[in-house]
Amino acid sequence: MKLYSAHVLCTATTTAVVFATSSACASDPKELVEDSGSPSGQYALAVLALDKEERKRDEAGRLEDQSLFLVDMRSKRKLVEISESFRRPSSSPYPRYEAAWSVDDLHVAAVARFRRNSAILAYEKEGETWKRIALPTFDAFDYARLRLTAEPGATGQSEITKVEWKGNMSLAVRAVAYLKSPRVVEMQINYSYFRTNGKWRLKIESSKVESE
Amino acid sequence: MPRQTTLEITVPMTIDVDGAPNAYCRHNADALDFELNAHEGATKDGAIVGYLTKNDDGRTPIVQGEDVDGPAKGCFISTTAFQHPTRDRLDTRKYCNAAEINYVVRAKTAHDKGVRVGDFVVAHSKKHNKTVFGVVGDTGNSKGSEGSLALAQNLGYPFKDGKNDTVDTPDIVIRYFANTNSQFFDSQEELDAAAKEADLDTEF
Repeated sequence: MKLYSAHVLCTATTTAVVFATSSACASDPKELVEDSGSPSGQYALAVLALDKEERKRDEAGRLEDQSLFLVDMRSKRKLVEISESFRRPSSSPYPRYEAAWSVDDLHVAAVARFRRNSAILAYEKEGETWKRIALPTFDAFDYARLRLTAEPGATGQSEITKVEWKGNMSLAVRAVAYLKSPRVVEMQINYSYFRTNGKWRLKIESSKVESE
Repeated sequence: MPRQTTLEITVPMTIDVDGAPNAYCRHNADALDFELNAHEGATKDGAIVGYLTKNDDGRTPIVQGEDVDGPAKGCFISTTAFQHPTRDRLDTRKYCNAAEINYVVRAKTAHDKGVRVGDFVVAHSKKHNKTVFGVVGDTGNSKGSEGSLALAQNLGYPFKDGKNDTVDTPDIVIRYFANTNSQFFDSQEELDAAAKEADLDTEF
């Protein structure tokens, strides 16, 4: 596990990955996502405080005051907020974030782990702009439930456990769906997003069911 | 000589309240977790997968005291992977009560070593120097960094619910013992007695 030293993003006055206020920073506190730095170290994903005017209450009434941003590590600039749906209250452990970069620094996939599932969003660099990649949606839990129709009940959850870029044209993902039926059933699903004719598509590569 | 552990991991811990009759309720103030956390994506638009719904529609809660009997009126039926083998699925006692039973969410590494849902664990807090018995009560977190509210409390953490509290540092040592239990427990006292009989390694 690689944690980025504090001086990379802002002047450090605290330990580990939590950053204190610095005039060089847009907003605080700051926290780099583990293993989120691009291969060259030029970019990273970071949890940053939202500007006050952007903060809103969520449906449970909690103030969402943080979000996940793509950051230029050289100039300490926020480049783009990954998604408004990845916002969270600083008091909440969810969502938690992970990242996967392509080896050329030009593609990043950001994974948010919610209480019951994971979501993935990807960006690619075009010139000096980071552009959101239109990945087809995929619900691992729903996929498993529809294929395991013999299992009564519809509670459970899923998580993305692995994300890896294969060059610039393909993103390989592994997800696990957990069904809480009278039998314990788990389905591991390997799928990939790939670009063809300029459009990103989804392909299920394999799946495996385990029960006990 | 005590039974040797199948696997030992050291993890931080988020709090799981699943299986508690008041895990999710119509009013968040009555519940151990925010109702949004039972939805995919933690938004109202996301399907409900954290508690039972009518006709499994993912939208309409089955409510205790209205649709079915239950100890927590106005609350829903939260489920766990470890379940009583014969009780009805609408009976809240079918599920491992996170507010009463020490349980962990099974790590993938434990699964790979043959640890099954229901098996005994021994959990230890390095910070509080406390050791307790528990079971593998749920699935859904491959890192295994999740445990029941009762587990955290019995390890010395003054947590009240699963809304915001977490153990942020890797303080919790979990020892898994494969093929040691399949019995469902309604109380921690019963679990402790059975785990003691199994002569698990509790020395830290």
